[in-house]
Amino acid sequence: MFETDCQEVLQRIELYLDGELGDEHCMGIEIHLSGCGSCMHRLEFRREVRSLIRRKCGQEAVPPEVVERIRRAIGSV
Amino acid sequence: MAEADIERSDGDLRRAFDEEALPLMPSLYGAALRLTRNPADAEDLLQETFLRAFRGFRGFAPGTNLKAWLYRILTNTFINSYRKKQREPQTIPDEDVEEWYLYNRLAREAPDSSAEAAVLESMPDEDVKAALEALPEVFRTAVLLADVEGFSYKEIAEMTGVPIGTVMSRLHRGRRALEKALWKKVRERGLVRD
Repeated sequence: MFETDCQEVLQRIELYLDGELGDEHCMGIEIHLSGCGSCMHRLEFRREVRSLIRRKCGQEAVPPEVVERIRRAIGSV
Repeated sequence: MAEADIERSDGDLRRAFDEEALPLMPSLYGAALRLTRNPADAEDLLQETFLRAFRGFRGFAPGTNLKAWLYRILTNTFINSYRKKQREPQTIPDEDVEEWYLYNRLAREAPDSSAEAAVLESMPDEDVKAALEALPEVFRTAVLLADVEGFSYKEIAEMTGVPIGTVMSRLHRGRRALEKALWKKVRERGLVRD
């Protein structure tokens, strides 16, 4: 089995985090990460940035008058 | 006759729409705000999305992904109605696509990964939203759909009507430009030493 090096791992890290890599590639990356603190740190950093964006840019309270307007609009269809 | 073959009554459809689609309004409103960048347009986009969804709800297959179906309507409506109006430049300069721009700078300022996370965490919500909203629209849409909403490349490609390769390229460039914009906000707020 070939060894996955840092450069390969970092090139695929986005695909890996996006859940878009096949199992075979994931396994190679995970084996590498378990022994490479530098790549692991970068992976965790990217994970943290995503989590930040998800938590801070997600749901927003809809003003009650807008909910009402939409409910009325749907009711009148 | 199988139960699935029985056409749902108007009353059943309305109940299903009220119970399943309407609770997703806060998520869709968040997305609408990020896309249009102003509350008045976001409210109109949200209303138009729910009107279209309600009219087309009979065509939605129960048990499939309702959230993805609604986001597809939202994205299409946005692209068709608002993109023309906004006329933003749709490019990100190459110098804004440095691979580890934010990582390299934060790692220099923070002693370990928990300190890095703490710096990011201390950013006010408005700053993170502003950084996302500053991306050109096609990049903003891709990053929003992937990183905020968690859709797959294939789903995003279907929602935005572009090939998967284009989604990947927009995500890559958009994320790097977003990281650069986040660093600018971190500096402006004085969250790290100069």
